Amino acid sequence: MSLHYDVIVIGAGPAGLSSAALLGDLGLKVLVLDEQEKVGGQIYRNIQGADEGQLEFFGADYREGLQLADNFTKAPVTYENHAQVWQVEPEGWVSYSRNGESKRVRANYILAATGAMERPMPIPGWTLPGVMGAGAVNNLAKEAGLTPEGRVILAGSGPLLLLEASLLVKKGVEIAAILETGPMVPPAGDFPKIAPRLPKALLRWDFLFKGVGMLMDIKKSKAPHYKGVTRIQARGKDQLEHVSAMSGDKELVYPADMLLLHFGVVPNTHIYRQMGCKMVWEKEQRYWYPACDKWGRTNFERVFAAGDGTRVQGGLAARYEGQLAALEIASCLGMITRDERDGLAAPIHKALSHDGLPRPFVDSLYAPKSQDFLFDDDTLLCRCENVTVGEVRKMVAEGVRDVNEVKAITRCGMGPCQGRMCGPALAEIVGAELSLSPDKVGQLNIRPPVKLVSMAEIAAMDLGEGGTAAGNWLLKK
Amino acid sequence: MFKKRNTKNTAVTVTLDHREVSLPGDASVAAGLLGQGEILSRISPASGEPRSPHCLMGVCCECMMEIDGVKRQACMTSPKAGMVINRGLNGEEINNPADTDELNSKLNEENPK
Repeated sequence: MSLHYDVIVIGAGPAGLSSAALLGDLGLKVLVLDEQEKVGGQIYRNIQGADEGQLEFFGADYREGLQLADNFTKAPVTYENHAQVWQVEPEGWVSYSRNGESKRVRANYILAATGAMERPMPIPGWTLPGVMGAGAVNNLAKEAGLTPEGRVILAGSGPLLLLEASLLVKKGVEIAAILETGPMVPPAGDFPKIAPRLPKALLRWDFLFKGVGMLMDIKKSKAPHYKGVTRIQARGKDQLEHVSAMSGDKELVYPADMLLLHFGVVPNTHIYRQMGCKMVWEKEQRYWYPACDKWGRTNFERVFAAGDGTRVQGGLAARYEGQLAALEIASCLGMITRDERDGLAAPIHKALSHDGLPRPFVDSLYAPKSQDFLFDDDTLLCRCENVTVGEVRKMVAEGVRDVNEVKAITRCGMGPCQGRMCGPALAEIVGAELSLSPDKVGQLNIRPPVKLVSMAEIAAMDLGEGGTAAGNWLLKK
Repeated sequence: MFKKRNTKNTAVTVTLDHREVSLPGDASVAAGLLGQGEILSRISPASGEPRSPHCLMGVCCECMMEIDGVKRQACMTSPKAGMVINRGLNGEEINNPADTDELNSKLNEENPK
């Protein structure tokens, strides 16, 4: 079996699916590696397994994924599920684990469409059983038809928090409270930034209308809905018992069975960072993303990035970005001319900017602020290695200036999740202590393997080209 | 904590902490367990506290369990008939063969805390 491909696509969400289908249809040899069981990524999770009731419930935005997934299934590409990519070499090698066996395969081009994740935000008690991401509950509904029961509280900020709340209302879940950290009215100081973005957003009244409908559903449910809350806390002994927060001077306390947290969405960048892609700091949204040109090409000639893994713009934009990257790769490989590429790309570029019209406005409304990152010293920051905010602050007080030094001393970010859950807040904390922006305190170094894979599995892997004996890769190093 | 919608799932029987349970065949091990009211996924080795799955998309690693002898993320694992799952909720050691125990005690002797 040949282990050489024209293109390896990492991820089978909207960007991965659209790019792979197009590349395959243009006659290229494509391998798609996705770590999930089924195609669709997070937004279209289980789209091909959803029955009519599910499709109806999750609405038109979800149903749109069906055609995309079906086009992909029909396209002449090789697709492997449960494939966890644990190392990418920008020269074109990809190492991945599947069913307990690792392989190293090669391609002329790599398109990494790694998607996004919920911004992890440490609050007191966030490790208590019963506290989950709101996105997790959304996944469980799509994948397994599960609906939260009992006293459910949603807390955090961002449009997806409200979307999840409206979905739960539609399902008849009695929400005990919605605790939004965002203010009721944006502070006057933010108006100069927000207001100029409104006219463009109004061109997409369909989008804004959807948002208003969502808010009306929530309002009709009569669930207590607080805005501008601070100090959200999960309390309990061995599992969640109460949720508390401050609304102005008033303390709110609710008995609770489930607390669903959501603080916006950030790109999933471990693979880009492991490769050494040049990263850019998104100042307003406070996250890192890989620098790309308009086709999605990173600073590496043969490595492309597309979708929410590059910047969070949603499923539709991800799909367009995937197609643009596919066109550029196909043109570089001589399957289409540059003129053909440009002709095919023109309507996609146009659709992409139409889709993005309301985003600057909505993004600025829900942008995280530095005061969202005021943590208590005894709050657990690193869930894996049990490191508190206070321990990190102590390190900074002792002279540490870089998140990697904090990691080396405290083990913060060194556990199985490899800093995915603590990394963003760690940079906020170190930055705040030094009165610096979080992008000025370094980024956690990401080293392979970026997924959980045993040393035995790596030692036993077939290295393909350049050596077949197990372990000769290590010998050469 | 969750209520389950009726679906035409094919169930598979697995061994969870030394007893047989039936899980839906078309959802991940983590989702299947949550649907059965099995909220706890593991005891954090660093803090000793019980944990439950947090992200359900392969990021947080809170649903790591010993599955067929290997620690794996339950949210990324599909159930198979006869699968043996140990969460180690009573503090028993999981995925720690005897030889590593020996190595650990030797290391501890050489480097007492």
